[in-house]
Amino acid sequence: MKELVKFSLKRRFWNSAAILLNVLLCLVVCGVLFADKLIELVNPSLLDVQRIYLNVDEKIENALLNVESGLDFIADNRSSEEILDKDSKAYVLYYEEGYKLASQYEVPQEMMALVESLVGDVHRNLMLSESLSIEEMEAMNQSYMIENVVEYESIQMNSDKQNLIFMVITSIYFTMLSFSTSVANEVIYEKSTRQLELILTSVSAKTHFLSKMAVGWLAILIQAFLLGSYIISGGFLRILFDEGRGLILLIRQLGLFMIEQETILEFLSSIPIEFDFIVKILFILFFLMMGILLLQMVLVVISSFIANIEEAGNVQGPFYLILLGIYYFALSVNTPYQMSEGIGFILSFFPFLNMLFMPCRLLIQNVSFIELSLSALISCIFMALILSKGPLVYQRGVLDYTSKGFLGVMKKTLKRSEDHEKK
Amino acid sequence: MLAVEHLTKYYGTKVGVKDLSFKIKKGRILGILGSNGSGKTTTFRVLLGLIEKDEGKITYEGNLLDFSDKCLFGYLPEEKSMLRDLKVKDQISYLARLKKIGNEEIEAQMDYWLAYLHIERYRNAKVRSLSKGNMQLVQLACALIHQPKILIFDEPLNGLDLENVGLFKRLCEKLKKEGRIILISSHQYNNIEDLVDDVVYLDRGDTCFKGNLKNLKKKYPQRILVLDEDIIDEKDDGVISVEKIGHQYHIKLENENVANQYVRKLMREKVSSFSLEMVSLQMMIREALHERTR
Repeated sequence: MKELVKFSLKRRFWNSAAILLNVLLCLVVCGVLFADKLIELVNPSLLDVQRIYLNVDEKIENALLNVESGLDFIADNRSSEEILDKDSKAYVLYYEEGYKLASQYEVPQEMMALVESLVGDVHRNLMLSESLSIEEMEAMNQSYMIENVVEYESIQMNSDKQNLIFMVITSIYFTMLSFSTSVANEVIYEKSTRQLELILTSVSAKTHFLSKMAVGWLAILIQAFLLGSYIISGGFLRILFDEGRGLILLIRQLGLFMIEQETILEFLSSIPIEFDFIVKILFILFFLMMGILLLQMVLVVISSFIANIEEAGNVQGPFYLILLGIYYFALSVNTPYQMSEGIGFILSFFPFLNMLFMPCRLLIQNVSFIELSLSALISCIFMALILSKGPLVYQRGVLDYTSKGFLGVMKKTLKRSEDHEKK
Repeated sequence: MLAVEHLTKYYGTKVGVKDLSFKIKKGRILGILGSNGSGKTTTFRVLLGLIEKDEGKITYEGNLLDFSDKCLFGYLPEEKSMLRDLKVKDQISYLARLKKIGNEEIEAQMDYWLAYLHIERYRNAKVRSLSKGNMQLVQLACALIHQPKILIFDEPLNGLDLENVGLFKRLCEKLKKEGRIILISSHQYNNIEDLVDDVVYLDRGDTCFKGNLKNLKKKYPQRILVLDEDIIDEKDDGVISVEKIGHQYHIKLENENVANQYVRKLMREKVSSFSLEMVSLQMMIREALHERTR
């Protein structure tokens, strides 16, 4: 088995295509980590500091003009329509029965929060200063909540959490699909070149089946390790370069995430690494790996009945469509209700489906340890079942010289294994 | 000795091979022959443990065959079973390592067999760049590298040119001398006729005939007179048939006595280019199948 695993991994990672892909991946990671510098080269206007025109009380205006916030405040008494006609990327902060921030498009929530906190700080500072009259104090005491007035059109923005869940589901889906198919295709290749017949004169079908599972799993871990090392190396370079200040500024400007910290190290140290958080991450990884393994097993067993690449398309195609259906279904039921007591809750206990639904639940709410353990246990039982029956079906499949078809052979094999057990 | 007793294998309701029995001693070659779909490859696959038999017993040196001993057999499959993007040396060493052979031993054996089979110059070539014949020789090296006691060659002459057929025959003689058991299946009867000691002929899973080839030939008293000229007629005494194969006439005679009479006659008439042969393996098979259909 060691030789099979070693050989498969070497073939997968030590070839010109894989090396080239990893170099590309490394470049992409570096590109992302140095995105601000690249944008500076390609389209520097994208990095322009956000301009906010002020049409507010003079004291507030003066205070905001003196604040160091990374924003470019400009005093301007023209109407918001006039300003936005000239400068579509700008915002206009004015006071009209409360603070209003006028913009062509909806202002990202992070930006709203930043402006709100700046205005709030200015109010508090002015209230603390002794030079204010009673009328001015009363004015300052009024609410400084800001309303976004969209001049052009309104685009609904997703919340960070929904974005995060969407990203998690999509990543899981593509990870499971790509890694599972590569193992299945390896089996099809070995079978179609008849190499498998030679291999099976040296190792048992069970060993071969298990080696494919191990290869699939190790391939994921190696790829994750490689990606992780690229990110760490790139991040290290970025920290040496400018502590990541430019990148964080870019993220803020593009409204991707709300990051309050100024440097990468500050951001990393602000991540709450609590026991619960680690347990959550570990469970998410556990369900992901279990799901991929289950999917791999099923796909490898099915692939063992496939004689050539053309047939693979016919058999695997519908399988991928089912997976795509599950993916869209997971996205559509991604609501707090469905995940706490609806269909998402129920499906989080099903083997394989829990790979998608349990991580979603973990990200949305606190899942009890009993629920997590139960779901994990069900997955383990299901995996043990496939591990015990899978090799038998696989052996029949890879050495299938009949014309009985997948279901016929599987039925006969399962019946035979039961007879063996009875004996 | 390898003994197969009453081996039966069905694929659903279809017979793969039925009630096949044979014994083969060390240092002998058994030809398992038959038309396409007769059960030759099924027999090999059962022996290799690739598929389970339905009935029968297989023993090696008196004990039930231990399928977990993966080094017992060397297998040359009928089809080209190689990963074409690999280098020749990597393909051979991969299959050898699966047999749990050490790296030094692999290198030594690979050097030896690549040299013996005259393919050492392809050591670093990709399998896909090889000709069909050279691929077959690489497969042969894969089958031999772990020095198996039993060799199964399924259609070994496929793709080999005359020179390499000769090389293969010399190899078989060498392996025989080393005391290995060899099982061969081939449709090139004329090429393996002088190679095999024993034969089993299968037809749609059934054993048509089997035994020592020399003894089997004795059961066929007919002799074949091969002539360049058309001077003997089918209606002449003792002549069974006259067949033109290429530029030669193959005259099948009833028995050895008749053959001797014709030889004397040809010598009297000063015909010098002729030969007298025993019934060929191909003729025996044709006769046997003819008998069966009757």
